[in-house]
Amino acid sequence: MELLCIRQWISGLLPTVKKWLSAWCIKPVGGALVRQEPEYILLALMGSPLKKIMLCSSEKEIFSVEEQVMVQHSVIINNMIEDGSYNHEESKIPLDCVDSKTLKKVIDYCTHHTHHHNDNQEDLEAWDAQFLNVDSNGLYDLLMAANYLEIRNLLDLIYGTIKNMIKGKKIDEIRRIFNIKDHGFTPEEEEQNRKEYPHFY
Amino acid sequence: MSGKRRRKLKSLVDTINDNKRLAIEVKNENLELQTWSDLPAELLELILSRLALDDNVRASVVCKRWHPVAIAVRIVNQSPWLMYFPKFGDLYEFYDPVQRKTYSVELTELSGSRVCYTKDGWLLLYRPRTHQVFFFNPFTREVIKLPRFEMTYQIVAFSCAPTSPGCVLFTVKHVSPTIVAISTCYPGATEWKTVNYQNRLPFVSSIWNKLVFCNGLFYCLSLTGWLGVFDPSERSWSVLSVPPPKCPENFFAKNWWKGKFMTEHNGDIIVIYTCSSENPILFKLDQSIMEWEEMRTLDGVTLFASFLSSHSRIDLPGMMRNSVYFSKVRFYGKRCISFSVDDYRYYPRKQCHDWGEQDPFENIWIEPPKDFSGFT
Repeated sequence: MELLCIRQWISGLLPTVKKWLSAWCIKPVGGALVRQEPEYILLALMGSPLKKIMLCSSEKEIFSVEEQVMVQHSVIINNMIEDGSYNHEESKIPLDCVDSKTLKKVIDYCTHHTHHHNDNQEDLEAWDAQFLNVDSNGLYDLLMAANYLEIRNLLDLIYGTIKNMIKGKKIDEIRRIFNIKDHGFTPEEEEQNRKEYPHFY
Repeated sequence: MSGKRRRKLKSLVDTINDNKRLAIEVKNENLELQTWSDLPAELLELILSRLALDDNVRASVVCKRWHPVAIAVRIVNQSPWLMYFPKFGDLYEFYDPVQRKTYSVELTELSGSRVCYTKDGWLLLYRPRTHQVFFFNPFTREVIKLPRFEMTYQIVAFSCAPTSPGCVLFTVKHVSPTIVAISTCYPGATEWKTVNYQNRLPFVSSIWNKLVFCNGLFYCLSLTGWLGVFDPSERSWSVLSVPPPKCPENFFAKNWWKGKFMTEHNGDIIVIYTCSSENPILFKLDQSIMEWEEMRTLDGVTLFASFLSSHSRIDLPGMMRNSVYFSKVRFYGKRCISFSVDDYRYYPRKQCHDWGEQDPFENIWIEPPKDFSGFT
């Protein structure tokens, strides 16, 4: 039978199986089973790792993504699923501060790193470099999204990129790169800065 | 723009003329664009704390919102201070080259003694009349006594603060060109231990020798530029077959053996040769090929040179980097005389600086503890 049919069949059986398993007080075993709900145990027994979750962007677009991918990378999503506040059959996770374009990229990052985590370091770094080849607005959105979702390794990557955007550059160039049109210093303050650090300008 | 928004703005700016309304509409749109200067403080902190010192300073002047955060996370190392020993009385002065300020404090614990060495904020002192040897920390006023030792005119060093484990004292005196007497001690010992060692290459010791503790070994540079090495754990001594640093002929004019300084940085031994009529030359010992090589750049490091002991520091305020600070302060402007390796000149420019003529016990660079609030 096709995988989809199997899963539909299981979903149909779930309420009964749930009752049955909890009656037997089956507890999870091994590292792969980290939940106690019966449907997880059953699905693990069936060997189905492709459980999906729904993420909803600020533009109300829904993205379906493998649960294990997001759980591995995003602390926020991992916590939501761990404490059971996410109901797989009905709910979607609303991410009101992440727009569709950025959310797609974030999902892309997490998916690649989960599926390719065995790749050698150089290939991963090259992929990351290509991934972060965006303009400063795009980088800003990625930073905000990664911060909100608490994706540690993406954050570290972005910090490193920002560090290089500042490193060794002249102040006017840094302002241009980061699109900072109004630096906020008074004319006197700006002059004082230029006097104190002439080699930065 | 959507009709909805236009209607919204129209109600707000009804009485304003068309041009102004357009300007406000445009401004409202821009306000919706988040900018890098509006990053939340916690994120800014995380980003800016990863920057090296000079990039941190850059970030602080990029925009006003970044300024206080950059300052808050900035790590600047503490610079050593120049400690002056008075010829008479007990008033000691400390000069801070960063703030260009001088502090005075009365230290009666040091009367009758002369300084021998300093490391990690601790001084080693010797009383010639009574042969007393002791450690003193001028910042905490702590005294740690050591067994007596007749220190003739020789140089002595120690490996680390006496409050740290594994602190060892070391001094070497030649008995003959191929035999030296090495004396060692440690805090808590009852006496100094003296053992004779042989060296294949001739080694002569004097007050003009330089000592440095690096990578667990004591390095001793002789008058003629040969390097003796003592391993305190193995108790072994040898003179390295590394030819002395090569200097131009005129360096060997009068007092050629005097104006030298030695320190270490990151496991590398650095030696400064000076000559009154020339700019100083810096050498680093290349341990892989066992040769002295001339250093053309300091890579952001600052060296503090004084006769008895010298120090190296990284991450000091920008202006101080890539320079050698000598143990002399000009009265006017309170500036310490320094040599910039990048600009290849002394600051302030002067005819000649004869470092060999300085009194060795007049002053010494000492490392104050981090966040030292002041002398009470």
